[in-house]
Order: sequence, then structure tokens, then C-alpha cells
Amino acid sequence: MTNKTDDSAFRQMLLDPSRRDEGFRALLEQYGRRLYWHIRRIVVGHDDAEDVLQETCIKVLNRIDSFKGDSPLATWLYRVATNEALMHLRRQTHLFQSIDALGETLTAKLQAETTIEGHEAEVLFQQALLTLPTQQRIAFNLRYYDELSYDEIARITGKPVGTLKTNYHYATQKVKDYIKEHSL
Amino acid sequence: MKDESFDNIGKRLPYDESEEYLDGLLDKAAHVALQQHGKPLGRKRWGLMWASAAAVALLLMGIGFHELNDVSRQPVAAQRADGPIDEFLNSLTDEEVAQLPCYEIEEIPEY
Repeated sequence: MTNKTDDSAFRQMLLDPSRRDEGFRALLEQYGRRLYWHIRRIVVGHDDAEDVLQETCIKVLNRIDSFKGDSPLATWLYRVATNEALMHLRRQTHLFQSIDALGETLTAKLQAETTIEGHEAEVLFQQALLTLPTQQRIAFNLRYYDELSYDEIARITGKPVGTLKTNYHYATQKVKDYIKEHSL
Repeated sequence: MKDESFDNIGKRLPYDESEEYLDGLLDKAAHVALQQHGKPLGRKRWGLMWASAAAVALLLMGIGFHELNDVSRQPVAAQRADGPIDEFLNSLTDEEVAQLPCYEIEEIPEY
């Protein structure tokens, strides 16, 4: 996703008070949009994505000293963003309710936020994705939209590569079936 | 809706954001994060922490109180000393009590 030199340069800048501002803006310039769309695909809502992106930025800046460079910086950023998005979804659940039960809520948000006219197929595709369990949906997004390798997705989600491959195959099939079933 | 398949939908999303919006959003996020960096927990977070600590203390006190006054450990009903048998026994003198027939457990016939 990125090379080590860039990562260590970013880290040094963020840890140096005199260069932190410049370094953080450069970091967001490079990764901000990808992080935003990754978050948006998880939480769906426009305002939700804004909030989660903000929390992610705060967490990244406060925890940059814990990033040791064992994995690429982009992977670490994706992990922070994913965790923040999951926490945001958890806050929307009732007591003892799983975030997987938010499918209908997220679908309603999706329909309310669809701004492009005549894009029923894209809505249908996203609706199909929202029928997947959240962790599976995240892994699918990282592979399909962000085109990350299974190793990178494993580092972000903490799931074994084998599980991710199986889940991706299963998710793809489920999405295809949903589209086929709901296309007119 | 026409027949759609996984492949021809591709990676298009049903919503979009303008470049200006994203620039502004990232700029604002950077500004807020840099401002908040290194700041101690805000008043609201401290308030939440104190409220949580107080709730835990109250819960522990409640559990302790419950344990000390556990209803299940008390007799089902207090022993009564005002029934007719008690009144009769209370009216007896020590000598009369001594003359009451006493049975050993073995002497009680089985039903």
C-alpha cells in the first residue's frame, strides 16, 4: 500500500511538535479520502462518516507513538478507522443487540442518502452488502473496493487469511444471488 | 429495473461527495484533531468517568447491603410465642413442667 520510507517519515513528522501540523495534513492528503470512503461504506450515513472520520483523526494523532512500523502505516490507519466505525455502530445498538442487527437501519439510511438519480442497481448492490454480517461486509469492502491483499485485510481485521478468503467467496456469491433475486 | 449483475454494477456507489466537500471535511478533521492533540480529557469525559465510578460504588454498596440483609437467609416466619400452646406452657410452674410426660424419639410410634 505504501513504502516504509514514507511511513517512517510520516511517523517522525507526527512525533515532532514543530512538524506535526504539516505532517498530519500531508498524511490526510495521502490517505484521507480512502479512509473516508472506507468509513462511509461501513456506517453508510453521511453525518456518521464525518463523525467517525473525526474520531479516527484524533485517535491517529494521539496514538501515533504506538505505531512501531511493523506493518504499513496505511494498514494501521485502516485498522484505527475500522475500529472507530465499529464502535460507532455499536453505539447505535440497543443493550445486548449485535451490530449485525443494524442491517435494516443502515438500509434505511442508504435509501435516504442516495443522491444519484437512476442508480437503482448501485442501491441494490449496497442493499445486498448490508445483508452480510458486519465483519464479512468490512472484509468484502476492503478486498473489492480498496483492492487490498488478504494479508493486509488480515492485519486490519485480525482474521486469518483462510477465513477471509472463504468469507469473500461466500459474500460474493450471496451478493450475486441477492442481485439476481431482486433484479426485475 | 433492468437485469443487473455483479460485474456490470462494478464499484459505483449510489452516493457521491464533491471534491470541495471532501477537501473541507479533511481540513476540518485535521484542524480539530490537531487542536485536541495532547489535551487532557475534557470536562464532559471527566464527568462521565466520575458518574461511572459513582455508579460502580453504589452498585457495590447495594450488593453489600443485600448480602448483609439477605432475605433468603432469614427464617421464613418469625417464631411466634403467643399461640395457645405457648400460653399453656407459659402458665405452668417449673414443677408442673417437670411432671409433663417426656418422650424419647424412639418412643414416638410411627404412623
